[in-house]
Amino acid sequence: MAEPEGWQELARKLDWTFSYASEREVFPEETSGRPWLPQEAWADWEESYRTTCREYAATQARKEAAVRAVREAAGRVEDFEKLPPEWLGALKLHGAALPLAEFAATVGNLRAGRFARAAAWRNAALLGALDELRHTQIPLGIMHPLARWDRQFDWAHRFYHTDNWVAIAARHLADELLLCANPIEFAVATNVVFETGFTNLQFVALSALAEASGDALFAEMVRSIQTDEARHAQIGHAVLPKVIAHDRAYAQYLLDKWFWRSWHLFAVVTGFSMDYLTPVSRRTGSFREFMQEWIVEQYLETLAAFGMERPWYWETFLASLETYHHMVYASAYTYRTTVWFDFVLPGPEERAWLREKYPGRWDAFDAVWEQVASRWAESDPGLDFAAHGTAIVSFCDMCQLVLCEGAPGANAARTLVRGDRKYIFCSEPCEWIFRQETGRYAGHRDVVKRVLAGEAPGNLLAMLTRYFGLTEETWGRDVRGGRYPWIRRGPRRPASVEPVTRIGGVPDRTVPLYGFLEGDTIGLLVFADAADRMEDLAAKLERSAQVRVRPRPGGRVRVGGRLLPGRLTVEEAGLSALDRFDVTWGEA
Amino acid sequence: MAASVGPVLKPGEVADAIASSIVDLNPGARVVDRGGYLRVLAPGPCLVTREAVERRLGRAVSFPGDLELAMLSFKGRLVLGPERVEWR
Repeated sequence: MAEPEGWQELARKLDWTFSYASEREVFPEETSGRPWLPQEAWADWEESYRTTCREYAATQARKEAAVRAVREAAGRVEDFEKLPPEWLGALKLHGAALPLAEFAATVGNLRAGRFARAAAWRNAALLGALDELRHTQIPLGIMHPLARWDRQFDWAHRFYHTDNWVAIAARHLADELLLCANPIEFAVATNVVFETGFTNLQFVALSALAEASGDALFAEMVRSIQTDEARHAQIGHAVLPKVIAHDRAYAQYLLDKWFWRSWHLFAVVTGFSMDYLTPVSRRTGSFREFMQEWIVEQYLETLAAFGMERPWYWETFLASLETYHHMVYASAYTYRTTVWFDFVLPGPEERAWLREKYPGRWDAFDAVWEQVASRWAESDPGLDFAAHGTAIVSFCDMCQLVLCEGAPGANAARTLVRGDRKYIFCSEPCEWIFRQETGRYAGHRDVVKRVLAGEAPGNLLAMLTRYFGLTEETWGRDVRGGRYPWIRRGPRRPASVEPVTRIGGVPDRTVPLYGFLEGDTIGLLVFADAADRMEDLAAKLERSAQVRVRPRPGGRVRVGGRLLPGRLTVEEAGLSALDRFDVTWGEA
Repeated sequence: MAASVGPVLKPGEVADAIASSIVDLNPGARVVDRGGYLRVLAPGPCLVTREAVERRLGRAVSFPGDLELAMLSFKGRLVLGPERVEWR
């Protein structure tokens, strides 16, 4: 057999000449993507990172051996028992969100292996599919034995098969990005935006914090995975110029759309892990600093090299970079039983660190954590529901994540009416994406709509056990049960979980509304009565949010920028189901 | 002035040899140790040769295999051959 360099050039471009079927039949636009170009237009397709199957197998075997060696040295349950408990939360978050998404990427690569327009691209995608299978199996293999020790690790496999709210959001993204995308959208979205940009945060930057936290196995695992990504991401770098040359606006759209969607996923997965679930003494940089290195500098320079623009919402993104993951973390901490991993309450040392890393933006969050800590101070350790929300939280009709964009002073949620349906979005870019491809997204129902349709329970405990797939053994808790030396315990307040509505529908006079409280980190669903006055409505929202925002007198209801009189009723105000109201303390 | 380009490497013997070779071959190149990874930056283009890495390591290496084992990511556009690698 000739050496690889002798036959590789010939083999990688070996292709068919069609006789009894047309090119359009073999590569329909629906499955091959657009711009649809004749075969000769793809003849010069060249990937910069070429490897033969033989080289591939040899290199992958060496990577596997390296991971196995570290696993043998540091992969026993006793090794995990020595890790910081909050860091285990980062492992469980990673273990659930990533491995089966990687499996969806196997499918995406296999679709490219059949429907991509150049033979060399199809060959490279097949190796990409093998890569992604490896990225599925390594973490599942590492976490499987841990499930016997800690049932939350079982969610590494279970997560995507549940209707947990995070799984609904993750599936909404992974199905579109990885499972169903045509090869062109897959190459631009997954290879360029995701793998050239965002996976570096979770697989390279976070590895530095893993090592500092004593988790050599996680560090080795994710870095091993990223060496594959660095290779097969080059597929996208060869596809993008073709798309730019034939439909520049579409190329820019795909880049902008997937940047925003990827940002939200990684803000949660990597943002939580870096700024909260890594012990403060082990942090070598903040999430924002790593984003600066990998996205603002490296990814933007990649875009510039292709002659493409930064996303049109860049200023919105930069503002989101300062606040979004803090908004979601504070909200999720106070709804931790709805997820499968444990949270840590940031104490004075952590909050001082966060203030230094997020100057000018942290104070609003500090007030939230003060209030959460005060709830713990009024209860016995271990009673998670004493410092926990009970109202139903609200979700974006685009990204399916909680309505946490903006800042505690001004939630950025936006509403849209289309036909007889009302939609709500966490942000302007999410609304923009929805408007571009409304037909693709409009039929999907978020958790709130499922509750209102009677598909999902409206009571928190019923929802997390009967709909989210959690049990008392697996639902998330405070990692220290609220036992923090800096919390001074005072008189006890009894813990309670109040049902917020009836299961299986809403009574006639009830008007479900999206409520946004000034100072809060999330929008909440409030069940108003048509006869409720605005002052009642304000009080209901304040009660629903009191785990995060200390109630204070004088809150006023604002609808559409207008302050409404306190004695006006919901009916008189003309509020109907799924309208938005805010409670603020400003006069204007 | 050209943008800085170069690889991000997984710490280890090969990474050290690649990083040192880049520093030798590219005036103005620098290595930033970020703990879990090494970021190598040079005013573009950034070049490394197989021969330089082998000299540093004292043993044979092959491209792309040995590079792939060490390279986590990179900045710039990759031009890869059996004898040399460039990030432009």
